[in-house]
Amino acid sequence: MNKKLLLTVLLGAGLAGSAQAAEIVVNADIATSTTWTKNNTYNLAQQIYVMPGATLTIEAGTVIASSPTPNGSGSLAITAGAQIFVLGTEAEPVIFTSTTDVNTWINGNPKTGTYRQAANEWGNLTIMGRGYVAENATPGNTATPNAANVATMEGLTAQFPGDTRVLYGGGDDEDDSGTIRYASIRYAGRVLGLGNELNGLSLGGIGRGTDIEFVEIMNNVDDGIEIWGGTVNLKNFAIWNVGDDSLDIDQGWRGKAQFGLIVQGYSVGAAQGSGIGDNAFEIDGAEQSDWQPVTTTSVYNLTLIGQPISGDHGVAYRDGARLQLRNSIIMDMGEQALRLDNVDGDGGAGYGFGGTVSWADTWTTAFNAAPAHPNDPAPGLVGWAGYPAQVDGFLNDVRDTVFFNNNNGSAYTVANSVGVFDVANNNLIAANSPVRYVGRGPAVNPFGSLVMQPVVKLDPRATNDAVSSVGQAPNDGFFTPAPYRGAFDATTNWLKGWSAADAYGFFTADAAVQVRTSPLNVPNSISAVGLPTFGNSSFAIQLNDPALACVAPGQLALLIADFGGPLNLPFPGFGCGGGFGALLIAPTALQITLPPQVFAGAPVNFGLPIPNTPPSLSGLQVNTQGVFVNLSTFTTTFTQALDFTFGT
Amino acid sequence: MKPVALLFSIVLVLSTAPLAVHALQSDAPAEEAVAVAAPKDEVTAPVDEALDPLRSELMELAFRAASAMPNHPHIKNRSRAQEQVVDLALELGQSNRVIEYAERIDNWRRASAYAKYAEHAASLGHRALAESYVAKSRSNLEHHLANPTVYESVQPWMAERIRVVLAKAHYHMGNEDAGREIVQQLGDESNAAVRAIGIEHLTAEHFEGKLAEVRGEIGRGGIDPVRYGLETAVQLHRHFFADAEKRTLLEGIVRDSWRPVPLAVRIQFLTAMARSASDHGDQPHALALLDEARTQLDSVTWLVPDRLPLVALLAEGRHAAGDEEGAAKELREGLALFHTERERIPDVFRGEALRPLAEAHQRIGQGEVALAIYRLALDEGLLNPNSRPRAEDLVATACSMARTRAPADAALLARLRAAVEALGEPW
Repeated sequence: MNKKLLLTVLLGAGLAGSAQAAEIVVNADIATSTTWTKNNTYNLAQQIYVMPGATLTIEAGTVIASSPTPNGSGSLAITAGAQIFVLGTEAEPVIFTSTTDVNTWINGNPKTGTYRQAANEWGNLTIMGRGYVAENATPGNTATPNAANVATMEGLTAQFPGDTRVLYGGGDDEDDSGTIRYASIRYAGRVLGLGNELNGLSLGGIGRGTDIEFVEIMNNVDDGIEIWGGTVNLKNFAIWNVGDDSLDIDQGWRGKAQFGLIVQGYSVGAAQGSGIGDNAFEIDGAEQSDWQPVTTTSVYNLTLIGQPISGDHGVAYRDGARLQLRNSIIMDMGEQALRLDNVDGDGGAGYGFGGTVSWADTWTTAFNAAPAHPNDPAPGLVGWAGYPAQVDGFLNDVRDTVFFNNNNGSAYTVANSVGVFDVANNNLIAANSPVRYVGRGPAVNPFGSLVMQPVVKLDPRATNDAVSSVGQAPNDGFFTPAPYRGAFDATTNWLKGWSAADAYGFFTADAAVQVRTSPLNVPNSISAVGLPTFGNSSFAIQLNDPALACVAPGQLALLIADFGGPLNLPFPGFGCGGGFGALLIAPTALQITLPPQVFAGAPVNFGLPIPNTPPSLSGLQVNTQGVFVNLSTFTTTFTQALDFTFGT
Repeated sequence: MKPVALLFSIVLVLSTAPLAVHALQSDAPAEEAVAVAAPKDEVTAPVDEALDPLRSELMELAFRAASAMPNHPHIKNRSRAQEQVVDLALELGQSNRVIEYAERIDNWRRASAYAKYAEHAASLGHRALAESYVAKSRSNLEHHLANPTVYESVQPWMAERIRVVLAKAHYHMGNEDAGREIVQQLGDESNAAVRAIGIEHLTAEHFEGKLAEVRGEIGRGGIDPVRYGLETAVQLHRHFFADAEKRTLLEGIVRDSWRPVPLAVRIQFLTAMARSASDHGDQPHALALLDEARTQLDSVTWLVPDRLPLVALLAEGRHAAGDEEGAAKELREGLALFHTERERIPDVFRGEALRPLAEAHQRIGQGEVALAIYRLALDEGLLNPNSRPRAEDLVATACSMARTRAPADAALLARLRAAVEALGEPW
């Protein structure tokens, strides 16, 4: 441990939610390589830089929980030349959050917690590398890719002349800033001492020697993930309820991405783009459109879920960006599914500027046939990875993507203008949801007239048109061939088990059916017809072949349903021959009896059509049991019990 | 890797073997040729070249420094540094050490090292050995692709890089079909790297065909074709320098494509063409090209670690052109710039700024000054309190000294040994 590093260990004064962990207050830059371990929690008391040459290793299960302070709160920045290894696992993710969040955890269990409509409770995770960037604000930077081109990281401020801690960019596209796996970043975005905002995860000039997968941003006040230049690749990421663009690209990113979930919402009551989500995916080419590198990427398997009333666009294109978007879902957007912003609003020029490829031509120009431009990178440019992300198709294209519920009058104006729905692209506007379930809470007005309908329950797994696709990602070593649309296949939600979204209960329960019995109940006497999934109008409980249970035709068949929970046991009931026993089920106020039917010599079905249920019913368990009553003798025969859970 | 070495390493590394001539690939002009090593006894292996004890120890120290890094969490850094020493061992003709070192690499770079050894063996005519290491490389790569560590996901550029080397190995062995099959799987950039094989063996009758190819590539537009075309033009400039008409034509082609070229690479091209001029006895022309490069260098502001390697290039070029005073002046100014800006350079980047100056001094015959700068680089590299950047800096410095045949006095050697021994927590 660095002797210069002033760490205050507050033994026995741990966070309320993790009473057994010591809290270590980190209040100095990390110049000496350090490992953070899960037996402690780490509270960032200020802007912390991991200095060049130092490595910060964070073990699986470690919690970094920072406290708001009068002047802001702590933040973590990895400088160029430093490295970070976030070694979370599915079972034990690394969590970056606030102490306020931790206080909602039950018994300090990081897989619990209560969602809050909040953000800005600590800073963020910023990583700076030495890959090529296209940034025109730094004096001396050139329009052609140059190792000398650098930029100052958004939200960081040089503390003295020549403070290189805040710079990113360089001439090494294979730069290695470390590894991030299974990291959950929550309630972030606050700049220390300033009124500005930070992205959840900021990646400046990160080279493809860096590995990032399974990362989640929950409730950030600014962008979710922002990437400036470089070649880093992303796999398995989720961004929820951020206050600006969920995924924001700038300055010539040339990496790839696959399996990304974006859920638009709001984090705090502030203007759109600062508390309320802006674009789901905003992609800029370069700070000035004819500078290089220009963003040129290939992205597979995104699921973009927007805000249908006051939300912004799905994908917004700017400054010459080139994006191949494949096998994705774009749904519920309030404005345009695809949007040509053209310029970035900071005085830059758009597509076609300075002899670059025009907007229209990017959709018809093969990925490897961009006309030579004066600012093209040079042959043999040292450390330059080039434009490796695209291997087929056009500079801009959208393929194998399903659009759903984008109801703005101009939702598809841009998409139509560039031929997105040409047959060869295998895109479609779906009539049915391509994800299993999106449950929204009541509409709210967190800021002015903007109406938000927050997603409160979600099953992002593929259904309907998303279950299969025509094409799929190439098997190139990074991409995983995935023959479906969106970030999830039909069976597996890879966010379960480690993410904040799971801990806060955003995911629907899996619909389930289970038969319980006691020895006295009639065997094989009850079953379910279908699964109790939201919207399944044909779900039913069937009392099986009562004749085998010595029930004669003419008896009354009843189905008792109870919401008391799984501790209730089935009636011990009576098999053939009748007789009384103790009533073990405890009737509750919620117990109901469905209208009885008369047994006519065949199995009896009790239909329980399930509407597209309010999200709050997800996970609710119902216990049922059948009863036959002999109307002559009033003897009763009980079936086994059947429990089912509402879900998806 | 420094600019000039990177730019021309593809070609230079292939110029060492007794050679026969075979066609390169299907889309090459029929008369174009590439050298193929004459096969040797299939059970033989390359013999280690003689190596003086100092360079041998430097190489060993470099590998020890690289291997000192723990795999947890530094497997990527460790393996990258180990592969740098593998490259040095290949360059110094130390085949046995290549294998020894390769066996100690624990990630996909072992497959890369095997591939390089296969290419090396193939270029020397040891076909059976080359084939066995092609197979080992493939097998090892497949293993790592199937078993990624928690620190490193598998990415396509890793396999692509290895495929380039394997393709070269196949071409050296005359396995054109196998080489072509690999080439067809490569991206344009890597494909161009393979196609650059053999330019140094072209004869005059091939010139027009190759020139047409260059013009075609540049005229076709697109990033990679232009890149390939200009690289080839500069290589042809060297090969056909003695023909004034051809070299003028090629310089014109390079200049016609001037505007797209970043300054650092313009300088690399200019200094490369200047070296060609010097090597052919045309010092005035070399100096004119170097003056032009200097103008380019001074036209923008550089970060010091980016500027000094280019300064070193200019100095070496001036030395080769007979301008000793100019060379010394470049290096003096470069070193002065380092001292002036030192505090603004993070300590982990100071070594990479200084080593090119030391290398240039060594190459122009100023061994004592080189030694002093190496000492300084070593000291600067050890300022960081963490062993990972120290180890990386030690690897780079030891490799640089071995590569340039830099002298090392007992004190410097002792300091290097002690620095390697001292590597440890914190990493």
